[in-house]
Amino acid sequence: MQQYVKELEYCTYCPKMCRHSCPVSGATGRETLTPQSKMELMNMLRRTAIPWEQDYVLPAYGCTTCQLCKQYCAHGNDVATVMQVGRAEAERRRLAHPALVRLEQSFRSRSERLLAKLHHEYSARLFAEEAQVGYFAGCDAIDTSPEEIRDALVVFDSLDLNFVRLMDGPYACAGYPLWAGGCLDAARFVATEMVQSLRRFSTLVVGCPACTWLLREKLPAEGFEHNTEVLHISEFLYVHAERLDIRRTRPAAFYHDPCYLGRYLRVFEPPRRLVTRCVETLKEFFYTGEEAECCGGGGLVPHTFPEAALGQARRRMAEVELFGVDLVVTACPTCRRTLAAAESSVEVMDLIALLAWATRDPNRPALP
Amino acid sequence: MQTRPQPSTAVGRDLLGVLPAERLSQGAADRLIYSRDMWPKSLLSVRDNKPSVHPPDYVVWPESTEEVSRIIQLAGRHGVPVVPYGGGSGVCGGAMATGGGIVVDLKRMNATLRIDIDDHLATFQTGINGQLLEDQLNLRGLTLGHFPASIYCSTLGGWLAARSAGQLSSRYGKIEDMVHGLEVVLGDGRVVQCHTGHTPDLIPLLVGSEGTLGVITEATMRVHPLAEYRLFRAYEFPRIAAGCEAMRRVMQRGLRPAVVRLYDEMDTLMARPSGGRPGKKPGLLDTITQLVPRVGDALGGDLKQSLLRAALSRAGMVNRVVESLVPRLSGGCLAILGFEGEQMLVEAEAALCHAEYQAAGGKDLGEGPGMAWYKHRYAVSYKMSPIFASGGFVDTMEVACTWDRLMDLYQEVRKALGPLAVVLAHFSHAYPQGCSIYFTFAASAEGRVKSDSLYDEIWRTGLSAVVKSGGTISHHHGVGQSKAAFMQEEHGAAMSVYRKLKIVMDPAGILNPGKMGL
Amino acid sequence: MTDHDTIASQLAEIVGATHVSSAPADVDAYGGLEPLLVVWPGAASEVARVLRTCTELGVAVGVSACGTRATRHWPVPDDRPRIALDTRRMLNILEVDELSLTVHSQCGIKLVHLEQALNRHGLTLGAYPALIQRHTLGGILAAPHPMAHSPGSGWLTEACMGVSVANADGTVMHTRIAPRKATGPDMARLYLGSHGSLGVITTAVLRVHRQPEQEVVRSYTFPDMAQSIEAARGILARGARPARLRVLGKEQALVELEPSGVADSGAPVLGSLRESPGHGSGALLLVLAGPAALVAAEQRLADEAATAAGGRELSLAVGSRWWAREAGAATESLPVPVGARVCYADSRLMLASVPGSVQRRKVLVWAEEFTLQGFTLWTAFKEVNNRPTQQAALMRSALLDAGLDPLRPDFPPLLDELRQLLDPTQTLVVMEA
Repeated sequence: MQQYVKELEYCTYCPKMCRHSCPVSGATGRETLTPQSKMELMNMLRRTAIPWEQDYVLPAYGCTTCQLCKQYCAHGNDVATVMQVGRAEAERRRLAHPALVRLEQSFRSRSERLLAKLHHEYSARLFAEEAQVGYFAGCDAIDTSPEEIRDALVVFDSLDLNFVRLMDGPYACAGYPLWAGGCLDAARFVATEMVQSLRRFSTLVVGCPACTWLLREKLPAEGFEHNTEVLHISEFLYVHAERLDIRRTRPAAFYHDPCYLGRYLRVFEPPRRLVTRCVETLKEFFYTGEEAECCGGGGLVPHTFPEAALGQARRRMAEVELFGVDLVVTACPTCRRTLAAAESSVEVMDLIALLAWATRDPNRPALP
Repeated sequence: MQTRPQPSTAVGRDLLGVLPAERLSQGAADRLIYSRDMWPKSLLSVRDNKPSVHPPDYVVWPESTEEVSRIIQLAGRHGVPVVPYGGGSGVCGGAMATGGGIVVDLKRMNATLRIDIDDHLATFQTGINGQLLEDQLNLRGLTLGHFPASIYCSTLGGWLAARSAGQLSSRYGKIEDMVHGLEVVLGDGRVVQCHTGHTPDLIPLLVGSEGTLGVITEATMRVHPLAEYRLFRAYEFPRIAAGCEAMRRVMQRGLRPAVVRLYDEMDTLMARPSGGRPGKKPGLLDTITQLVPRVGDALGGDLKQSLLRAALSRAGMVNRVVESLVPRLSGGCLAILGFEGEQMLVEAEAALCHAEYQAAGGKDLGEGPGMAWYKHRYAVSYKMSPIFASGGFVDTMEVACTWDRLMDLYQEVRKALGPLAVVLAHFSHAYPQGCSIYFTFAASAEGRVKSDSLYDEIWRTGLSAVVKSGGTISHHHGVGQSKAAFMQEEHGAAMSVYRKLKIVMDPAGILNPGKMGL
Repeated sequence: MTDHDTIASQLAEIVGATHVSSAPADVDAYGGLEPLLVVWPGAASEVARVLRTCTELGVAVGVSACGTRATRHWPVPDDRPRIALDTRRMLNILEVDELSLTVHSQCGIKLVHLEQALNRHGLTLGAYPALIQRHTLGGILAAPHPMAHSPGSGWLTEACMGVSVANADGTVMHTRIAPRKATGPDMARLYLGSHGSLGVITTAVLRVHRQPEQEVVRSYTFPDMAQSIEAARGILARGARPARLRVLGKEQALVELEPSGVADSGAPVLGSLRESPGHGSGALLLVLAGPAALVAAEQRLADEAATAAGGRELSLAVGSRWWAREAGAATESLPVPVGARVCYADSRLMLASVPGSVQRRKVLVWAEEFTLQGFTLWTAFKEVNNRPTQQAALMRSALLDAGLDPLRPDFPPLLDELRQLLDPTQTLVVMEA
């Protein structure tokens, strides 16, 4: 934490200029979960003004790592990173959040379960070893919206991009929950294995923005280098956007920028271009693009502060309801899942599902 | 994350009868965070590794007026203080639980209840965040017209409790000019609806009462159409008096610029917006903050902090040095005017103001400085952190008076504070009858005890000068704890009326005790 | 019970023997109160001492400036001796500050005299309707007049920056004068609108204005009154701040714009007003005041707003004649109007239903006191057949039938408790007409 003294000190004395943007404190109304307060607590722990006790540590888990607060900070303070450093320290001291105590074990067992599911649902031919271009859907896609994997393959097929093959491991997830939860040893172990298996791909198309970021930026920065080009699926399809054979469109939709695709990877235009092909009117949230609010689903908050995650999802959906639009499109399986959990009358679709729906050709032969 | 509260006390058990456990906390982290607001003096404790000087016993998050009423009633039965908490952005220590008790955080009561475009009225629960309130209105083509520097981190309830002002107050007024109706829970739990048709009108008694007479739970505000057009002009005056004269003249001709600001020589020098005239040097503060990091990074962060600390601890000398350099370095006093509204009215008003400002000796600087100010208008609050981190402190004193006393007030306060702190001042919130002066002061002393003592001395000396010059001790920040000692001088015999209001509205004396000099 | 002579002599010691009277001619001016004597203090300190003495002696005090035949008062009259405290001697203007544009005056002064004094300095209270000028400063602050409003200047009570008050126990308080403050409750506001029940306002500081550089009067007609109200709302919503803004129903327009009955040749419209069926049509009167360039811009804006709402301009002569008559109208208009605050969302419905409820009678309808939130709808009978009070009662029930709440003092909750603390002996008696 010594690396972040300036951030910790500056946030401690700040009049909370960023607090309106924080999804967790905004959805719960809790001062203790504002970025400033989370940083102040971490700083007081660092300074040993307060003891390392769970009650003082738990607020550090109330961060979706969306980095919206950084957007509003004149000093560019990165609260998300400091929170993860704090969680790693808490993990070392066996003070991790009760919901995350078995994080490493549950990561492994979930990954095994999801890989098995993937193999069960998809024929072995879709996993060809020699493929140059791989498709890594991400854990939430396999878990809660597996049909979108098929959707992606159908869309690739319709664009004659049928050389794309599913990547099947070694894990269903590149390890985001481990980094976010502060299990750094496990995270590094997974990273080593993932980077190994990237070697067979020159390009990896990824459905999950967090995994995209992890594989493209975070892991290399942590010393896990590789030569594979990592693209989010929207970037991969962007160059083919005009070739999409659109057969049906929706009248209007909002596009929700996933935090890891937008603020982290600066990918704003490609998903919008693809959505625009499938809807008559694309609507923007009041806070959009770089300033897009978080869905509430990042940073393991659905596990640690579930009411905050749900509350934030509801807040985000409320704006769509206000405008009487019946569809929100996003480009992240976790955002899709989190916003859908708000149980709004508004439909939530992943970009891939929308593309598949818009281009569905009943005459085209089904995939193996 | 709150610890499940143990119903170990009667208060705790009673609270659990009103709220579910998830909305009640006795947790250590919550009690630490809710132990303070943005009073700069508290930061001296925080810096001294004592972040939690006045922790409350409980923090609660009600979701309805009825819950607020029941909480207050049970607090009254137990004789336990109740401290309402909005954004905790107050700078006077007004939201601190100095006597322990229950901090009532209103932020879960943040609903937009009604927006009426025909009648330009909007009703909100008072826990709503300021910027989010404005967003709700903007979505419907409306505005409240209230833009305090704290808009991102304050609530409607806090604004009302403190009588806040926004940067466009010369056009839209202060918060007390915008209230149409209030719902308030009094100290005995009674829920009272107030509206401006009442005679006498209780709203002006509740607005500004900083939680001592009741907890405001809902408010109906008068709103405006969102302006279609905005224009900025800036001018330079050789001397502050000429700039004030120009401000007075335009306000008294019935013109309503949205923004009327005038920076004194020191403030102009220190913090000239960087969007200023081409070829002109950046402000001194900008220069220092750009230069020092480069030097500091080369030599280590500690040196950078030491440089700033050294400057601040020789404040008197810095003031004198800068004042002697002013004729050589400065571009005089920067004046900014901003207009918004219908284009034809804006242009007519801007032209009339332009003529007045030029006649008063102002040199036209065009649109740039005003637009730059507008773009960075909330930026000043980010400057607190580096100063505190370096070992100094910074605070502000905002006062007001009628035009006839304005220069006197300005000179007296500067004279009083000059030996103790680096002092900057700007004039803003202009009215036909007078104006507000916003003093920023920064200083440094060695160690906690000396810092506290210097801080107190600056305030005592400054407010005495204000009272002596016939000004009011606060224009928009409020009183809280920091100015409580001067309330008797401010109000004289009227203070006894406040005490009587208190007896009627809070007979048990549980609402935010220890504030306002009551 | 103290005897009357003791009371009289103690009061004479305070105000001087010549300023105490039990003569029938003086006492009768306060018919409803039935005081045993009247006192005329000359200064705030005398008011305070009178109140203290009366509190000590168990005497009730009714405060007024010009006599009243008011028959209702509160608290309910008991058998305590009563005196009338008449403030008409307290007419000194203590200070006119031309730099800060404020005036500090004793409260017994009539607004007409205050305005004349201000005019001599090139200043004015504001473009308030002339009819309020017969009231005293203290009277209009303590019992706000529903017509004391100008869109450009706001309500007259809002012009009050601070007061000096004499309390029933004889203490005196002055509120801090500053253009705006954030130092707790605005204690002065407790007394404005309190009808003298909490303390006696002895002096007040008001904000004033420079006399306008230019004044322009415009008038328009509309096919119906609802459209004129829409135009009024549009003028304000676009940011104009007129000195006066008044909308007239057809009958009232005929009364106000053509009192002689003679048509204004060369100008259309009043003719069309007369000819239009039913109560429909309306007129809008607008006074714009300020620097010439701003007035010109507001004028263009008003023309646009009026046209957009279906209005047509009347000749300039109509407006100027009206304005000239208006300035001289220092008397309350007859017949007695009854009004209600209406919000814009409801206004169409209200305008349709109010005259409808009294179809067979000729009803005068007009609207003023416009803000962005609404306006006051005023009603009165055209012919003065019945007594004013009966007329007023009829109009009140007509408004109630239309779903409107007629204006009357709307006392807030807590007022009784505040009185108990500020005037525990109930020395102050409030008289209501």
